[in-house]
Amino acid sequence: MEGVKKYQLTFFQRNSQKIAQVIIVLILILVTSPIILGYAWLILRSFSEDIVQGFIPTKLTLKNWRFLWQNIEGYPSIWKITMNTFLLALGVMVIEILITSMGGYALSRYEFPGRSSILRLILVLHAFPAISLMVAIFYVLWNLGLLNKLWGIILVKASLEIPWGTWVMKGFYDGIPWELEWAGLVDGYSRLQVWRKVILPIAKPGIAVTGIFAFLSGWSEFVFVNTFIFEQQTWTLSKYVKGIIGDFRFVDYGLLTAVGLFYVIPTIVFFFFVSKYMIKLTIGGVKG
Amino acid sequence: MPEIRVVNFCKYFGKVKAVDNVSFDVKDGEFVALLGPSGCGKTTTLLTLAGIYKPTAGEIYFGDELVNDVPPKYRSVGMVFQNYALYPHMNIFENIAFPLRAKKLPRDEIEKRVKEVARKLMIDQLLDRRPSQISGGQQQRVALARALVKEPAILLFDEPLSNLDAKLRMLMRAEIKHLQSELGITSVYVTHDQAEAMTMASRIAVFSMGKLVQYGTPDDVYDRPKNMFVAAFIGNPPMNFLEGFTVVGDNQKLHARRGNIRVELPKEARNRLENAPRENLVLGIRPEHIKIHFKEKENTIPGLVYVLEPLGRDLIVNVKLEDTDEIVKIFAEPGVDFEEGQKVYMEPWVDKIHLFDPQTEETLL
Amino acid sequence: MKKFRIPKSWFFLSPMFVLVTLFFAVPVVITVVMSFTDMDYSFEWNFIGFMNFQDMASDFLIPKVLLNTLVYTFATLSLFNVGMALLLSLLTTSISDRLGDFFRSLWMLPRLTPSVVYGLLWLWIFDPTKYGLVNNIRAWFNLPPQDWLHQTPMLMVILANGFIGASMGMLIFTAAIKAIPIDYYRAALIDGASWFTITRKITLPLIKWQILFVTAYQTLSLLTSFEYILIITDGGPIFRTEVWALYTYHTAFESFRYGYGATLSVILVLVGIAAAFVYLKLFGFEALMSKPRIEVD
Repeated sequence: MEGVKKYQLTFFQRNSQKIAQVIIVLILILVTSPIILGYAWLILRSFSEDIVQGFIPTKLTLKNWRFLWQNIEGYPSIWKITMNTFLLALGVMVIEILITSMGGYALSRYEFPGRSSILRLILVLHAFPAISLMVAIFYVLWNLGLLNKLWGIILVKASLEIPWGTWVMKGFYDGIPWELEWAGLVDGYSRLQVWRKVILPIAKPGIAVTGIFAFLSGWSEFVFVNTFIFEQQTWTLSKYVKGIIGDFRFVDYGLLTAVGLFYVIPTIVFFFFVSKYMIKLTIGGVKG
Repeated sequence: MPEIRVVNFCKYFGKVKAVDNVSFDVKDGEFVALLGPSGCGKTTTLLTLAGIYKPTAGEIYFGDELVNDVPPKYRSVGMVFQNYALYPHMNIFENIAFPLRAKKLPRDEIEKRVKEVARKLMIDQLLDRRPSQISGGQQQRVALARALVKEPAILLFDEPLSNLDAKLRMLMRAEIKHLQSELGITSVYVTHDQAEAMTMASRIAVFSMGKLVQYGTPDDVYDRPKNMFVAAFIGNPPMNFLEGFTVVGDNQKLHARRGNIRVELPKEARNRLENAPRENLVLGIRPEHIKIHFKEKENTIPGLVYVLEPLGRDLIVNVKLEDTDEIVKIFAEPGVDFEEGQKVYMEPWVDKIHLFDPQTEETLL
Repeated sequence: MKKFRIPKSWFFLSPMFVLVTLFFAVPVVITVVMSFTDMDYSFEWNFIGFMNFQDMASDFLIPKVLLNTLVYTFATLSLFNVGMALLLSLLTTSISDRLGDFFRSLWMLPRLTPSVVYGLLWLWIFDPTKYGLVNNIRAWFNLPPQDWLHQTPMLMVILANGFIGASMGMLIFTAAIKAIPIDYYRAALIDGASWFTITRKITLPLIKWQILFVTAYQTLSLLTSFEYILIITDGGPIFRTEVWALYTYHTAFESFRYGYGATLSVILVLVGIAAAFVYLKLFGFEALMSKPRIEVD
């Protein structure tokens, strides 16, 4: 071995890790490109007169956003529709927070007969294809007089989100140390009071996460609105945008993208918060 | 086998200086321990030697060659991890064979070498089992076997014994030391357990807060600690520190004095303390270097027995000083009885006394 | 005698029970019962025995729908929901955390975007004129625009669903990969294993449980999904992308044959229940159900 350079390496051996990193990033950019290009187009197209090479704008304009100050022919006012959408999202969020912050607490902190069966049931419901019940849900709503009403959509949507939300909230409660609750009880509070005064404030981040997801899912809802709402005045943005796509697809991409972009604004506002959380979240029912 | 040289090595993670300007060398075939509390940079240094991390600044040499940028697979190092890092889905044979498979050695060669090293480490009857089916001590041996099977030029240990119980730890300590000297592989061993470092290594590098504080033989760091950190970190129970001493001298001898207490200093103190500060110093003395008297005597420190800690073979006497409430721990001579509250006089061994400058924490004597 | 008190846990759970009963339990029963009627928009319960099931057996569209469902489910599942998800999680965990998080966030975007807007993106990508992305790229090579909706409608549907479906697996696999002790990778690197060897011999075997879970879970969710197909192709052209769930929807809400629609749903409900039992069997959730540590009410 004397005199032999054992650690003499070629350029590629020496930089193999860096080269691998570059290749990995290139592959990632390639596979992600439909997403990147799609959203780039959505934004650029909505502000431009015309576009070349797919998504490079030629002349900037606000003309595409005219739907904000004048009604599109055959469509109701965008603001009325936006209000409907907002109410729907808000309703889903409030009901969802109410139910899951209570249910999650009971499942995380109480021992009662049937607890583990309920936990199982929730996991099953989470996986269960609720969409296959649409025909029956239609009938239930009809019976309750909730067809063609935002309330109907709110209740259905909130119910379908319950398994997921309860599971997430249970996870948050599970993470709160028992000592805090013991201390509250020892200090002379009832469990209800401890829940309200000690546990709920600590679980705020969990409530925020559940709430934002519920809001966004209500905001984005399409199928139920499409099926259970018949009057234009009760439409939400999803139905409005779908209609615009149907009528203007080959005529006015500028209008389509502007309406679409308008619709995604709340999603984009919450996106950074939500995606950061989701990246950390492991969806319930995964063995570690 | 190459020697290792680490020159002005720095490793920063963002703004955190995990290792700051560290230099040391490991001779061919030597066993060196990196010792320090958690977060002191010792494991970072070890992972850099393995090639997992790259230095932010400075150089790492194996023999004459700079290896800063050499990826782990070309370094010919074997490493034993704290949690053993045995792959749970492979049996013991496959775990040990893993490095050889990466080298694409022929099948029978792999089989031969795995069996050989397994026999050497007395785990040849476990080869079919999974890591979860064997004990912690056996996992330890498997991890060692995996590190040795590729006949590395350098062995790295990252706190390999810290997950074992005390008895097994003592056993493995001796075994690793024996194995290392038998194979003569240059080894670097990270630990926070000073007993491991003292018993196994020929030299110890003491780390603190990313810096190399002292590098020397076990005797060096124990008897001649470079500063108060090393003095306090090494030794169990640690060295006693008493604050606020002044050095006074007559023609014959130097003394350290505080109020009525006066302790004699050794002869060499006159030279060593020539240019040093003389006021408000810290006196350091190890528990085993104090003799206890029951009658008043010159050059002693009076105090009351505060609490007794019998350890079976040894007895630690805690003595509380009356003026400052400082506690001094002493290994008592066997066969002497003590009572709590009893008045005693402590006489430090003259040539084992240390003095420190509390400002710089450096050792003066 | 001890007085019976309503446990507090009931108080906490009752709102959940009301909604779950109303919109899960009752609809399951209604679906089953309705499947034995020929109910239409007049909502009359007119029982006709097994007529609907006989109709289903002789429905000339069913073989086509079944085939579409199988192609759609297994192509999307293998290429994206598991395949792409694995690729993404393996690649994004091999680079720095910040860059990895960036790419993973991008893949979350479609899932959070309202479905109609997301559908619009794919309508543009596969636009039949020269303005569409794919046709635009073809134009660089002097190729004429193609009418993708008629050429490859199934591919459009698979891609659109795949880019959404990949994110769930990606998140679960990423979490699993990150949970693997880092020392396994360090040991393997020191032992000279390459990226491919590490992936094949260490990472994949250690996350096989998660792969199984995602495969099982996503099979069911794909079998019953139709929202994006409804938006992008509406099952067309001429039933070429009509899958079972969408056929159910069309039967009920476009042909107003609720009874027959319920019958088609029953099949999905049965598949769902069967799958749920398989999950419970496969993935015993005991570990997730630690007992509470307070015994006061």
